[in-house]
Amino acid sequence: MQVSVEDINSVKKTLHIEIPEETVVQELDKAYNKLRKKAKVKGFRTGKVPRSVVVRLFKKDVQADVTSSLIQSSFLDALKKTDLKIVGTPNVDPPKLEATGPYRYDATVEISPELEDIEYRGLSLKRTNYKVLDEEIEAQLKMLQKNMARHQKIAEDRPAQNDDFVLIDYEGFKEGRPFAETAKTENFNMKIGEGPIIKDFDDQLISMKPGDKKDFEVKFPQDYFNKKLADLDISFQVTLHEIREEVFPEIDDVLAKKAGQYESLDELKKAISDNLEQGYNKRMEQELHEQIYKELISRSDFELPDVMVDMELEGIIEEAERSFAYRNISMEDIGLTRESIAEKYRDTAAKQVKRHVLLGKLIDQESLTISDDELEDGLKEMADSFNQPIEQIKNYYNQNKNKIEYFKHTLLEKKAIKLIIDSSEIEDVEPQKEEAAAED
Amino acid sequence: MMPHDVIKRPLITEKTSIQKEKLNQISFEVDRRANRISIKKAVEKIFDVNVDAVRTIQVKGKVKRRGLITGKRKDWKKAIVTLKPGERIDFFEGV
Repeated sequence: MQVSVEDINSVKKTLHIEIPEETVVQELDKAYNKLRKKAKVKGFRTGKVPRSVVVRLFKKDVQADVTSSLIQSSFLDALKKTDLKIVGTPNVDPPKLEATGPYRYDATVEISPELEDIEYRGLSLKRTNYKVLDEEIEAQLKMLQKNMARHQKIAEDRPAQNDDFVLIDYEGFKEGRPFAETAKTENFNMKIGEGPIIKDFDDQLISMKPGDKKDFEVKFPQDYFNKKLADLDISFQVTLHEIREEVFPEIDDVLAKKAGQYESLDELKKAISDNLEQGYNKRMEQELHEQIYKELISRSDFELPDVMVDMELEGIIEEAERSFAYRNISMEDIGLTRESIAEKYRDTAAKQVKRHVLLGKLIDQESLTISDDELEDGLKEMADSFNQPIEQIKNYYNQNKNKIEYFKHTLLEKKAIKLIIDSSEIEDVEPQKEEAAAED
Repeated sequence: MMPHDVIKRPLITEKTSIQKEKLNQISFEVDRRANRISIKKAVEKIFDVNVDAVRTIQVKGKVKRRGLITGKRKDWKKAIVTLKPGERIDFFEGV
């Protein structure tokens, strides 16, 4: 067998492979003889069909079979000979197999990029030290307070005013007749001034007292969001039952207890600040990583095989589909197709692949390994973040042996990053004000 | 009768394969009205060969029954054509 390699670019090659005649004939003979034993042809007993008849009837099938098996075996040999590490599936366009003569075909393959050793030491990185500010905690508490506000009937006897919450019954009539879009609604809770129906409607409610009934007419504008109501005069009959006000709970231990499993306000504050801090740490880490990748890629740029990008892209799309499915919406509903996502995220995918390749190279270069202890720690961390007992996680991986290899690789990549960070110069910088505000 | 009307189809079975290998004979199903002479002419014309001899056989259709109902497959005529030595016919696209 003869193989020659033609470079298309650094990650794409075409292999010209030639299989000698003897091998071809041998394979064909084998296939026909096998078929002769089993073929059922009218006029012949099974196994007694002469070869000429078999050839005539099954030539196409046999040739297709033999071609693919020839390609398979010769391709593997060719890879061994040429010592290429391919990714994805080779692209082969097999010509027709002739009964005599050698068989030639071309296979286009993509190989993972060959990298020079990476000089990863001595990067200068900037680390932004985000701090959790008291104001942020306050803001979070305020939000919590608002979420937990209750509506309470007001004690005093006064007419409704702006910003009051009112409990009303209403029914709208179009030209004196009940109208489906404004059917009778009872115990409707609304805030005057927010205008859930229309601002004019709210204005009419002001100065009504509990128990009051009122008839009035409202004109809906032409560009009203509900097309069925737009540009219509509707007369409403409204009964006001109750005026309510919003009562904010005090920010104290009681609130903390209600908000979750917190014993005291301090505990809640601590939880909030922990949460924020975690977010900041993550962000810091990400920014660091971002810098590292940028730096490394600028130090050793390389071409990427399309298949790797495609594979990564596939993962991204699947992830997106899953998250949409989780929220019970399909991608088509919001006007996305697999193709549009693929186009949008192609660069992201390429970037991610580059990162993986770089880290993979680094792992090789430094021959990093994961010891059993480290694996154990990694599993433990995962168990914590999923809130599941570590045994369960272990069980899962015991059943899925190939996943554990993947997980190990993730750990290795983490280790590689840590190695880079450890051997870099890190400059701490204070966060810029506007960035801090941008959070959330 | 046109040559293609005379010869309906070649018969390819174990028996005819052996005859072909050993005796250089080819078998056909032919029109029942055809005789040896017209078969010889038809074969020579269609396959562009020289025919040495033709033998014909009336094949009786088998009687087939399914329960009480009996039926009969149609009778047909078989022709065994011997080619002159050195001649051969390569099949087949069906005639």
